[in-house]
Amino acid sequence: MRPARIPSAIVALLLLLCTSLTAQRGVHVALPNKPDSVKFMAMGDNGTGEHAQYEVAEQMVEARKQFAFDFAIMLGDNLYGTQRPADFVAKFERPYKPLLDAGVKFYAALGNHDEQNNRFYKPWNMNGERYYTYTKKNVRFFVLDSDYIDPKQLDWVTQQLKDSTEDWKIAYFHHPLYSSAGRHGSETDLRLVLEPLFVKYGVNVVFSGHDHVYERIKPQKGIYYFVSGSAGQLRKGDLQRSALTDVGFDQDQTFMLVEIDKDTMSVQALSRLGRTVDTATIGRQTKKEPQPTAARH
Amino acid sequence: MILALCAACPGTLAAASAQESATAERDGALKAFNQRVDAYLELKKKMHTDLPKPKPGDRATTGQAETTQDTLAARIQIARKDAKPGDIFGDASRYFKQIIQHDAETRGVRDAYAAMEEVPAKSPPAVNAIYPEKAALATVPPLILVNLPRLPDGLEYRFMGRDLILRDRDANIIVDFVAGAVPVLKQ
Repeated sequence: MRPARIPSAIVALLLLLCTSLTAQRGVHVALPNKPDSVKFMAMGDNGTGEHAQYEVAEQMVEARKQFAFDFAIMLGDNLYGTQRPADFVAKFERPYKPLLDAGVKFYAALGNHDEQNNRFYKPWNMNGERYYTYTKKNVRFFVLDSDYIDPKQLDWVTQQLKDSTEDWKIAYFHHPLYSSAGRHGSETDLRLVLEPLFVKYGVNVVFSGHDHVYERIKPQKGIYYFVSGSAGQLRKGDLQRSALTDVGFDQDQTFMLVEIDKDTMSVQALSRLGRTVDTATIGRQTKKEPQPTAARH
Repeated sequence: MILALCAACPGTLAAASAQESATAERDGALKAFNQRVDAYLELKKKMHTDLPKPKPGDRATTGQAETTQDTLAARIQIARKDAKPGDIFGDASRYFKQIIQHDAETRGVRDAYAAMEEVPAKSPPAVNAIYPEKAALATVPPLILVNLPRLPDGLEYRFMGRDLILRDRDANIIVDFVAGAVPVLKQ
């Protein structure tokens, strides 16, 4: 039996359709892209190994063609389900291969779905620690294990914050101190122990995941908070916009691009299809001015 | 004069004495708990002597971290094959329950539910059992952790159902548990 031939007109039509879809998925980076700035990508709750995670990863690669971030922060739940060697391939190494090949370094925080042994996974640069700190130019990052904030970790972060002299202090961990999502929402216990430290020692920005949405929170006590927990997972329609919400998006997976140039931080949140869902410019807080906390959600 | 005053209030003196005795009893129980924790760690150290210390790169790439964890767990399980619930918590169990009960009372119902929302429902746990591989590690509320006795490295508290478990982080096994530590929440 002879194989059926596909008419060339149909092939051409299909090619046209593919091209048009690709064009729709194109990324437009709307950041200053200064030559000496600190550039990074932020993603949370990504490690599903499912198709959507791969699609988001493709957008990250596309974005990097215009905005050459050299590291990425992972906000926890970096792997879901079983976490055997094959899972690290399917849920991390394969989707982000172009980024890994390009030398992008990943710095992970542990989420409630991550096995604690994952701190020994070299590509996540945790050096075997559940919580750690590192510096990029004038920015100091504090990576916490919000699954288990015991007095020892609190002592550690207090000391690290106290000793930090960098211009920018950025904390990131899995559970959000502020969130308007319906599934989890704000972690008030964590807030009670961490927020006073962040305020006292001048943390500028906090990134978290856990809720599978994107949300930019209105500054709380002078600190900017982002929830970015949908780089693989998505809880569509879960965002219950509240007095906390500045901008939110819960209709598709997202990730973030971040640039810090001197006293300015610029952020852009992008969807799985490359659509920009938020852009913002934040000035570094030089003076702590107590602001009223928005109503508890 | 003092004697006369004291004679006038025997109830107060008795209450103070009872309070003192309760505190001493509590301190004694918690001290004994800490000693049993230390003894467990001594045993673990012996099980661990010839095993390589995990280092960055051992996870997934070489599989060494998993092998070490599994070997350590198997050795501890054999060494503690007769271990039973309460061997570590012992008489201190009731104080752990009190701390958690007190915490629950200071929270609103919504907050109390939120604190426990992701706790794995699998219950009851078993001494020496492996913590379920696919179960998420529910956050232990920091306000509870600051009130529980501080644990040495490698051990942690977790909740499983309504039980408080003592988990060995390196071996991923349940060392002991306090059954029904979390009070039943009323809507």
